[in-house]
Amino acid sequence: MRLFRLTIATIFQRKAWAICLLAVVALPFALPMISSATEKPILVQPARILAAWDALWVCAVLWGLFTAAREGEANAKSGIGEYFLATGLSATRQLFEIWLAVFCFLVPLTLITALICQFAAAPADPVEHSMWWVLNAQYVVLFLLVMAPLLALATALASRFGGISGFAVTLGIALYGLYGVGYLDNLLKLEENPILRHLWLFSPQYRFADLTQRLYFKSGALPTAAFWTMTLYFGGILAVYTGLSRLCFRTKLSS
Amino acid sequence: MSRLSSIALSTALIGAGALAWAVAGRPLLANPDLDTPLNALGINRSPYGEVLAMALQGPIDTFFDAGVSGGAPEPKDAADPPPAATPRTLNARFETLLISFDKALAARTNPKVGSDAMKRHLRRQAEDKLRFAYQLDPAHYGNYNSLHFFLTEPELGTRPQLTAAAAKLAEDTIQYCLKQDHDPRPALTAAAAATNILELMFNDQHNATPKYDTTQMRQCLNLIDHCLARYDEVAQQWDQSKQWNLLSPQRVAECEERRQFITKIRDTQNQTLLHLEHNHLAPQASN
Repeated sequence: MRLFRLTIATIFQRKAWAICLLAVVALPFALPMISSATEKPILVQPARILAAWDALWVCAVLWGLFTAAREGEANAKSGIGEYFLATGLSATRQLFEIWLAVFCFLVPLTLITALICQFAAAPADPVEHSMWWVLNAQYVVLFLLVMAPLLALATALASRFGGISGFAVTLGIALYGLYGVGYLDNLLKLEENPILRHLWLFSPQYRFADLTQRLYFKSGALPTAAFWTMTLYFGGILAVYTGLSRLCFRTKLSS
Repeated sequence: MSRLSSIALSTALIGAGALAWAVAGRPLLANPDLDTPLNALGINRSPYGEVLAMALQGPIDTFFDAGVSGGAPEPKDAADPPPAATPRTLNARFETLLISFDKALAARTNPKVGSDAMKRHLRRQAEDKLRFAYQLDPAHYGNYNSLHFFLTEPELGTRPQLTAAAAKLAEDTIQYCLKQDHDPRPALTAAAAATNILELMFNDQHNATPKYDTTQMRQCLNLIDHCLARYDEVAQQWDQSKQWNLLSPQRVAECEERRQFITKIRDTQNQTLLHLEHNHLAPQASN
């Protein structure tokens, strides 16, 4: 696991993670102060939930994907990838170790967000309270299932096509899956089109993993069956992206 | 692992993943419970959306011409302050310079008036802006009314009509506002929406075959009363819990002003309705 340790140390040294940590920890408490919750104290907790998860999403898709892409590019560009390949570390193993290092930064941020939601924004009603941690846990699982393959894809694309491509493509996929599919759906409701309908059907619908509105409106935990179907769905996407990333990953930048 | 088996493994992963993706995707997409409205970062109708909606009031109020009038000067309001003297400080001068750039960028020097397509485009732009502000906080008094007046804005020589779009907007607003039981202000927006509907129903009476009868109007008036009663009820709760103190004095004054305004409109509308009811009854009495 030398490449893993090297990547962890590199990311740690660059210190940009500290900004994300600060955002994830402080914004849920700071942002409600500039919301209408100052006039209506009953809204403080919903405002906190929104700030917490939105901060995490923004950090993950901007900093997370960018870091993953940069590490993938650096590995291929600086000759480290070739060196490790010579020591017997296969390309897939290198991809895995780089991915794991970035993922290890994302997991604590996600857990902190979930804990803030659990302990600083939980509803007082006992029935709602018992469902609260289930919904939080479901959100953590789905969020990580969405982000994990995107990080791997960012690393793999960057190692072959450069850091900017790796970051921009995965950021585009993430935004498209979160919001673009919604706009496409609205478009299809206005006018049916079989090609676009198929494109929409087989798009990565990351909007399902965004449970912020469920937390905000206290809609309760996801039904178990739907949650497992979602896990299978995102698991499928994970497998596809893993396959693509394995095929795409290079230990040296193609010239 | 040989290169070939590595590629085979990747392909198998992609195949199996695509299968799981397709199999699990259909029931998820078909499940109406999981269908959430499109709302980027959950900003619409959130506490942050309410603040943004308030902040958007400025840009909405500004004069929106974009040169449609073909180089005509902006209408001057009598209440407008006289043009300020040349600013002295460097910062103020720089600000004036930047504002002049903004104006120059939007100025239409073409002496011809803009085409119909351009006007439609600008109209659409204005509507988008108003709708965006409305969606951020549908309970905002100013934003709802701005969008309503835009939607019912009469063309030359016509009266505002209760179009389907305006009626739906008002109904949605009333429904949303009456659900907000922790703030009295949405009830005022709901009352304003009801007065708007009633006013347009009155307008409809000028047509040869009016669509709305006095019973519907009476229902609408009852709805206004219900909204105002709701406002008083929640406002009283706020009195007790001292929540009014969390608002700035201007906002509280604004609230009271709106309450008085709607009450006045309601009383006038009641008089009109009584008059209409009397007129409707009179021919029957003579039969």
